[in-house]
Amino acid sequence: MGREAIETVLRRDYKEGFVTEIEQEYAPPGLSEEIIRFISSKKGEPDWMLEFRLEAYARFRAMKEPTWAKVSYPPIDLEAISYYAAPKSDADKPKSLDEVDPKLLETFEKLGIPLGERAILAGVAVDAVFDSVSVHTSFREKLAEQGIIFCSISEAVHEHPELVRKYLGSVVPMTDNYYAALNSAVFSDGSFVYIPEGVRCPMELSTYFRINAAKTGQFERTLIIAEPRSYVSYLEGCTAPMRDENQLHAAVVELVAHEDAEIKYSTVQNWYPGDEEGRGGIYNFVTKRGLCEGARSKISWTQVETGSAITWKYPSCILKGDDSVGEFYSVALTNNRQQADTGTKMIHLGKRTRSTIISKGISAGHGQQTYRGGVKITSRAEGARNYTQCDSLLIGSRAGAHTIPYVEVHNPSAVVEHEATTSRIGEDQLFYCRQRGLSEEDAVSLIVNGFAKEVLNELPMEFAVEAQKLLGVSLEGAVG
Amino acid sequence: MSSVIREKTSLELAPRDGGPAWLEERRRAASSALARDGFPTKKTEAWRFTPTRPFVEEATQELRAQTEEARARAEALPRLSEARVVLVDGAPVSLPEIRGVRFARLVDALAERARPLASLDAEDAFARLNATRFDDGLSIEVSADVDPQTVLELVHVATSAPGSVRYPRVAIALAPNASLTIVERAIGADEPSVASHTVVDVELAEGARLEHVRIGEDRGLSTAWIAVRAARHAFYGSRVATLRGRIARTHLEVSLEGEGAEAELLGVYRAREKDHLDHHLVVHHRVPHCTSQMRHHGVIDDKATAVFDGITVVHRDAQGTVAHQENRNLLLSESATVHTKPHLEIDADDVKCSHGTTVGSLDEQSLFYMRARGIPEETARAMLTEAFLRAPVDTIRDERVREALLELVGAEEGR
Repeated sequence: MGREAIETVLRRDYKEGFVTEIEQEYAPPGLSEEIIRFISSKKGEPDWMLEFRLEAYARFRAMKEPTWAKVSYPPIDLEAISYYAAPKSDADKPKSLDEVDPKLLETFEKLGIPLGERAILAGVAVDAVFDSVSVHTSFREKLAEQGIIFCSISEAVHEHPELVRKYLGSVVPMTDNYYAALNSAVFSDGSFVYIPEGVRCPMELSTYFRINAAKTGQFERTLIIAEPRSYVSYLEGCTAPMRDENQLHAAVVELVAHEDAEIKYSTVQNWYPGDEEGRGGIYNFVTKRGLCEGARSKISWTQVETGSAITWKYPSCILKGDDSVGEFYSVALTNNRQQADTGTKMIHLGKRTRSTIISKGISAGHGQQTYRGGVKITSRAEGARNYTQCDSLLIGSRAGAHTIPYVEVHNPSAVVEHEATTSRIGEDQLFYCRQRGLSEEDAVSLIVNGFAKEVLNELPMEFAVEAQKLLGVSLEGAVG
Repeated sequence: MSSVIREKTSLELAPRDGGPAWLEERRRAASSALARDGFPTKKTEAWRFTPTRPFVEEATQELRAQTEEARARAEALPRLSEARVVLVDGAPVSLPEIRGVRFARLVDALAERARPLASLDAEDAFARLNATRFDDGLSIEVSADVDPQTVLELVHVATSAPGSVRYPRVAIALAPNASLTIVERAIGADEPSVASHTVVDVELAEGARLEHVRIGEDRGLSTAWIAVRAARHAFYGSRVATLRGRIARTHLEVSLEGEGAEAELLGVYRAREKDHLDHHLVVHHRVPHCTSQMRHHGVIDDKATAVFDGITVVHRDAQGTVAHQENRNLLLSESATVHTKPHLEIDADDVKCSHGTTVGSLDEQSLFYMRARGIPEETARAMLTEAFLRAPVDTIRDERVREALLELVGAEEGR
């Protein structure tokens, strides 16, 4: 296959790169106490929420942007960002699907998100967050019958203040890091999920995030609480239009799993990655953390990361309950000028806690990718067990793959294993496929999908198909 | 980069005078860098798990006493080779005559030298401190005439003066195709507040082969910065055995600069009581077709701590690189701690790199197997531990050195 042909394929368009022309309501750019008060009053929040935001803002101002990640980007001007952008129809918030701006619905249709009727067919409950405001949450009534709460976080602040107050910031404290503090101050919306004791959520819950407006940032906040013996599987997807300036996305996700509860959190992240010269794209600086609070609880993170100009994300588990389990499955792909510094942290506090980390990194073009992971076994985590495997696949001589695992063990009964490999697609593998009549494209796609299979297998059905397609599209022709 | 420890230290930080112009210039640069960046703290990535306070606060009085007491302790060590150089507080006591090897006092050798030593540019605070303050040291130049069976033994010993510090420095250069074994033993002093900051430069010309054994038994405070440069088809084999140390830090940095160069870094560490043993290994693959291997096994007992940080950097265009890292740890006690970080940075695509690390206790199945065959549990444990530590040592070429080291590792087990 000729070099030119490869380049043609590599110059693929970003499929989700459309802009929806609808009236937006903005906050003026800039970050100040007034803006935070504005956001809070816009949402009609109670005083305690405003106080939470203001305290976070005060703490944030004393913090410095972290520089340890292996990514490079020009300084972000936080004053140039608008911290609130909402479709204008927000004034009289849509009560049902019919009242939602048809343009908006079209957007979601383009994205292939099942909303309303389509949601029923697909059997997925969706909370769609458009820029900063949660637009519609489907299937609510049906879920409510079982006592499940699935709504936007701003609704939850009004309707379930006792839960929000108890758990917000309990896993990711507002001072956790620079971007978490920023998020705590200015977060605009996100999803809230509460699964009562003994309930197995009958369907996959899903959120779709989209940044639409220019010069805005998205700061969503997700909080999921699983009471004892409950189960929930939650999916999240993200896209953004093509723009040649960078946009900031700084989210915080907190999960709490009580005794015997299980939370499965899957992400397919396809924010706009910027063009091949590295212009534009989303800065994806996200803090995700789950707390296995009760005994035998389980939190499982699965992520497919193909988008964003820069990804900075470490979904982590604090294994506090005895016999609790943490899992992290990740496929991350960087092409062109994308940079990703991603991984996980498993903190073993409880006895016989177990964690598994499977990370697959694929780096093509000028892509730079770092796996950064931490496994910590504390002295009372008797019999804890960790298995880590992180493999990198390199495509092209200008790609970079870095592996930085931290392992810290304070207990002799722990067993920790870490292994990693880095290599390129083997000439022999390619030759074997080609010999059997596969085109080079198909051969590469086959090998890459095989490489990522252990992770893709963890995704719920609908997402697995999408993820495979994404990997295919993002990689087509990346090998010469 | 280091961060400043705010407290005042009474360490002497002004550059020493004398020597060629390039040396004076490097000393001044190191001194001002030290003044600017200070000493590392827990926030400095490379020193995250190893305290530097004792180095900065407890052992600050420079000492070059060359006492009989220290010399006698060195002489009492059983010899591993006929060719032995004892360095008391960094200065060689006498220089032997060996075919193909030219020993010299470092100050004399540097005066003739046009090119600076690589280690003088090191960004580590203690390597800078050595660059600023070292006084005398040892230069070893090896020509191709040397018998490849040659074993040179260097013994570093320190005067037992509490609160004292010294800056030993050794420069080793092998001419094209020269080959030999150098054993360095650091016994320091039997005193917890005695510090040595050692720097070793190794330059391997085309086709040169060095087996570099370092045995650390210094019970006090020590840092060692070893900078290795390997040209085309050169081979550097490091065998590090760290057996004691209140704080013993080894930083080994290998730069593979010619195609076909090879680094094989093997090591064992055995931390007990309140020992703190820290190994930092860095290999730079700067050109295509080089090979490197890291394999370090450690046993951590009592309240001891071990730190392992292995970094393999594959630079852009270093295609055809093969690199492996392995770090395995046995934790024998409730209060023992290990921090391990095997780390790969890869900027080329035609590479085969892997790393693996394990932390655990002795394998129950192996224990059961041995006990089922009538071996008492204590013996079985000792045998398994010894086998675990033995693997990296077994490759040492010279029988006398190998047996001595195996005994050091094994003898420790028997106790």
